[in-house]
Amino acid sequence: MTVINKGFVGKGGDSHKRLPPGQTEVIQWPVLTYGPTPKIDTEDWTLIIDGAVNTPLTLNWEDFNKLAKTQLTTDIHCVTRWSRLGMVWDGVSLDDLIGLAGGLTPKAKFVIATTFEGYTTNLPVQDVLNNQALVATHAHNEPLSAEHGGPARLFVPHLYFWKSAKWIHRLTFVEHDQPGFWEVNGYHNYGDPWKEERYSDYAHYY
Amino acid sequence: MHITTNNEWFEATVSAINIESPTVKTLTFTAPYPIHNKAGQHFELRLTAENGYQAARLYSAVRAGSGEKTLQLTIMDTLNGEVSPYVTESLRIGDKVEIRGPFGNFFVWTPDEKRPVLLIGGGSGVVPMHAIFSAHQDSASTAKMHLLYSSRTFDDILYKDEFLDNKDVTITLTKDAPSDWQGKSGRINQAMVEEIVTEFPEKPLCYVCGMTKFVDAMTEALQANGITPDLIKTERFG
Ligand SMILES: Cc1cc2nc3c(=O)[nH]c(=O)nc-3n(C[C@H](O)[C@H](O)[C@H](O)COP(=O)(O)OP(=O)(O)OC[C@H]3O[C@@H](n4cnc5c(N)ncnc54)[C@H](O)[C@@H]3O)c2cc1C
Repeated sequence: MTVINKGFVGKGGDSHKRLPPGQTEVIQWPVLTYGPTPKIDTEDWTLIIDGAVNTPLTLNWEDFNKLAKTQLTTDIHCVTRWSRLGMVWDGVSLDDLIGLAGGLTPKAKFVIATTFEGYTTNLPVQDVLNNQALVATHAHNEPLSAEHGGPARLFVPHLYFWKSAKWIHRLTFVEHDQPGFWEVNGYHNYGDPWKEERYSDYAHYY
Repeated sequence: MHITTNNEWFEATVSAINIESPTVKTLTFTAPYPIHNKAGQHFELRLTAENGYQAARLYSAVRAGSGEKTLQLTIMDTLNGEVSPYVTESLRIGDKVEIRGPFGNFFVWTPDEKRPVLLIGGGSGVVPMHAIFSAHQDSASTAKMHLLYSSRTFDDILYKDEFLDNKDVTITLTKDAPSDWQGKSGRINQAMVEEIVTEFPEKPLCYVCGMTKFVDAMTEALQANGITPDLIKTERFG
């Protein structure tokens, strides 16, 4: 049974119809990171695509920026309960990156994203195909700042935003799932905002 | 034995309200079953309007929990906020809210941590620091722990009973300080961090908590003092 808090009205206006349950719209863009913000020089930047692909490859910043960009206009949802609606993001689609790596082998069931900080997150392969995911470099036509994951971050907007790993360095396609940093630290393994898959359901014994 | 998960909302009843500062209150809630949480973890508090609209926010536990049926949260009244003004202004003893948790297994401290620890908190970011600081005091740990706490004014200082006149706590006031103020003044900068870091026998493990701007300034100051990112844990409140 739910507790009713008399006198509490909140901000449940019209915009929450477009919001997944339990989310609040923000206009500004909050920053959430587990440690200091790393400053990555584009000179030192590389993106590795490896694991279950036919021709693993490493791209430097210059090569990466020669690739065709894809634009997505979409909402983003952070597990800490803010959502930003109608954002415009640009980057290279994972479909294009996978194509460049010669396509996936049948063993590719999951993708493990690793950041320059060594933080990882895991996603099912079907969630990053068909224009659902980018390695993004721009939001609202501005290059991503370091605090928002620049120079490039993974962008998978239909899942809670921790899945969109900042400071992306490597995408490894694997056969077996490997829960990443937040996923072993109490967050949900999949993270669908519409199903409120916020936290892992680990049992507590009282 | 009662089995539940940290995903399940429970009804919590306000049993005490303690005024910490003009804008901050510590609320004690009674829970239907014992609460177990590590120092540094947070809980989620949810409010429901009469039309069913719900809003929830995360709040750090004031201390580690080892099976008590109570939970304390210290909450700052955020101007124009949705949840915190209701909690700090409208809730009365006997009122109920919904809570679940604990969450966060990274920004935690347990007594088996052997490294010395530097805690840096700004504003309400001192709440999880209180949990870590008191867990350390209650443990047999002999590792050094020091808290560097940035507060706007003297009145804004939280947990005064424990933090004032404590040799393991350095408080700096950033707005104005009383004429007889013995502590530090001004924002925490590289030099202030250096003064404290050099008193440690080895590079400390650092916990930084507060608003994003504060956290970023602190992690810069720590790194300028040779503390590598693997020794810095952060929690950003907004
Ligand atoms: C892990 C964690 C632990 C935390 N622990 C604590 C704690 O121990 N104590 C504590 O006090 N807080 C804590 N917080 C912060 C807390 O969760 C809330 O963010 C805080 O209480 C504000 O919530 P609110 O609903 O009152 O304000 P919100 O409604 O979320 O608003 C926050 C601010 O944004 C502004 N704002 C709101 N809507 C808009 C808009 N549309 N456009 C522009 N600005 C807007 C408001 O004016 C306000 O200043 C913690 C946060 C995290 C992530």
